[in-house]
Parts: sequence; C-alpha cells; structure tokens
Amino acid sequence: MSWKPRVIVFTCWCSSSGVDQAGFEGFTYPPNVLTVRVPCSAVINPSLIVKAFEKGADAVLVTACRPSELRRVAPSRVTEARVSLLRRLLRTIGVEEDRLRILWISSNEGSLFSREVSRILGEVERLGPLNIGGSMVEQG
Amino acid sequence: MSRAEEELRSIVRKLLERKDVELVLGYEYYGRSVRPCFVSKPEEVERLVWNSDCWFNLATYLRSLRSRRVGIVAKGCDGRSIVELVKENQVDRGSIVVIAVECNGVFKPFKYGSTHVGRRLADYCRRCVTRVSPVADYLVKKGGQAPEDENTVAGDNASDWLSLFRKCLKCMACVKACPLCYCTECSIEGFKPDLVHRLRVPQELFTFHLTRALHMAGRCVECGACESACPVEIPLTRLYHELNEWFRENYGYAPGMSLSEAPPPLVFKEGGED
Repeated sequence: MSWKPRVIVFTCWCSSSGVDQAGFEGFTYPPNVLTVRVPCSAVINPSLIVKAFEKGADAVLVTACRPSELRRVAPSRVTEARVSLLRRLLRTIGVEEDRLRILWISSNEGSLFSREVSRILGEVERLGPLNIGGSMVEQG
Repeated sequence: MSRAEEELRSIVRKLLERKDVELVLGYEYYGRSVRPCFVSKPEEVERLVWNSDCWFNLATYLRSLRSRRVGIVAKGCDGRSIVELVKENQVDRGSIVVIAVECNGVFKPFKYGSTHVGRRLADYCRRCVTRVSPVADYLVKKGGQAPEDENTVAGDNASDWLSLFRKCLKCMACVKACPLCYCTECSIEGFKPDLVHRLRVPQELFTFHLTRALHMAGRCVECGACESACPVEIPLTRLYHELNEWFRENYGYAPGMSLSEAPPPLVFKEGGED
C-alpha cells in the first residue's frame, strides 16, 4: 500500500526542542510527519487545526509542555480543553476523534516523541485517509 | 387576537406613552408570515402580533440600537441571548426593557422548495430548556397557543454533516441572523491569507462551519436563528447543541441562564493534576 498518512504536529517552543532532541539522540520518526513550531501551545487557534484537516492532513498532533512541569499551568490546560472540545466536534460531524491528539512532550523527551509519533501514525494508518469530500477541499 | 397579544399591546402602549422607551422591537404580520417590526408610536401598537410563527430572534438588533432605550419582545431563547449579550458587554441591561412572552415553541419557517409539507415544530424547540426569558421586566403569560405538530416524525436525524456542509452556499445568513455573532472583524477574515474565502463557494466549507461552531461553543443559546435563516436548511443548532453539551458535562455551564454566571473560558483557573 503506497498511501502514507500525512500528520501535522503543532509543537510548542519547549516540545519543539524535544523534537530536535529526537534527532540529536538518533531516534527517528517518519518523514510524513510535519512539525509546525508555535510560541506556546495555547496560541494554536483551533481554526488552524480544522484548516489543517481540510488541507489534507490525516491527523493532527498537538504537543505541549507537561502541566506539572510548568510554573504556570494554564496554557497547557487551555490547550487540553480546546483539543477536547475539538475532538467532541469532530466526533459529532463523523470524523474519528483519534485523528486529533494532544501529547505532553518536554524538551528532553526525544525518545518519547519518536515512540509516540510512530505509534499514532500506525493507528492513523489503520483509520485510513480522511475523506472530507471532494469539492470541500481547496484545489491547488 | 389572543389574550396574550392584547396584554402585550397594552404593555407596549403603556411603555411608549410614558416615554420609557423610544421604540419596541416586536413582530407583525407580513402577508401570511410574520416579520420583525419596530414600533415607536403608541398608535402603532396594533401592528404587534404574537404567535407560533414568531421565530425571529429580535436580540440580533439590540447591538445596533445600543445608544437608544429600547423595549424588546423576548421569547425564552431571545432572553437567553440578551443575557449573553449583557455578559459580553455588548448591550446595557439598564437601557433595554424586556417584555418576556411565554413561548410554547415555534414552527419551522416555510421555505420555498422545501421537502416537507405541513407546519411543524422546529427541531430546536424540542430541546428548549426555558420557555420564559431568564431576564424580564414584564411578563406576558399564556403565550401563543401550543403549536399542534402536524408532522409527528421527530427531527430528521441526518448525521452526515460532511454532506450537509457541502450544500452550504456561504451566504453568511447564519452569521447575520445570529445575535451572538457580532464581531465587527470576523475571525474567518482576520487571517492573511483568509482562513475562509467568501467567494470560493464550494470550498473551505469544512473550516467555515467548524470555526463557527467553535466560536459558538458555550455561547450558543440555541434560539435556532441560524438554522431558520439558512436557505439550504442545514440543522446548525444541533451541531452547536453538541458543543454546549460538552460545556455542560465539563463545567456544568449552560449559556444565557443567569447574569451572574461567568462563562467558563473567562474564569479558567490554573490547577488540576497532571
């Protein structure tokens, strides 16, 4: 089977160094995982996650700092609540909610990131391509 | 003319004669259907009607009349949207006079080319939680007669949202009709490039509807204005209801029920265990 899921990962500043760490330590993750670095997980507009799905992402991952490691807990909790709401919305409209995940990744957890991403990619592969429907997806 | 209508007219007449309000938002007949009307003179109150065809949410107009003292005829859900507007500092509770009318549900508005015949209770009225507005300066009891449901089939439970979205014409009627969709700079246009392009019609409907749903989450009072205004009859209120359910399950919060209850995203607290 030639189809490979396309996965967009929104990483916060700290967890993006976790992703880098995966490279430094020699852990691999599949090339069809694209990371988008944002200053903080709480600035990810849920509309952009939706847009990512529309533009052809089969799954979206949000990586954020562990709430227990933050001096201020709110940002990760905000993201968690948003992702939970968005998962409910996806379930309502008939898209598998497991296509959107939140992962707690600290800046030194490269191995965890590589392991989790590979696991999630396998699950998305089982779910198959996300079919939002021909004309709704922007062409070109 | 029903007793409720008589009572409503006498209240409005009194308000206008005493110059308590500059104008009153109400409903009037327009042919065989009902449309919103603005009454500003005591002799005009005979235009006002109140029945089960009054599906408009008049709270939509309140924001554009902010500088004036207005009276408003409000059903249960209209009252809830007034509460939300007050909570979001969009209207001043002191400058509006709420004439609450007891509502027994409204009919689904007739649409040309619609597939169903016969008048039937709107879907969102089956999920109604309050028949009387939570804020009221005057209360008109025994509202419109209970609508007889000519079609006993409960709401069509079409759940194929993706194909429903594909019908969308992106006419933005849902945005215009919604009392709570008031941003002067809409977020779907705030991005560069636009998050949703207004003119590319068969595209970006997924983002448009999901963004709107996300922005209505925990705010939508399920008045059904969007759904009734929709020319292709997408049952939007049902989608927003699901998100309100999420808020009810997680925060025990229902929008528009009381003026003192702050929306959960505003009072989001740090804390909790990892």
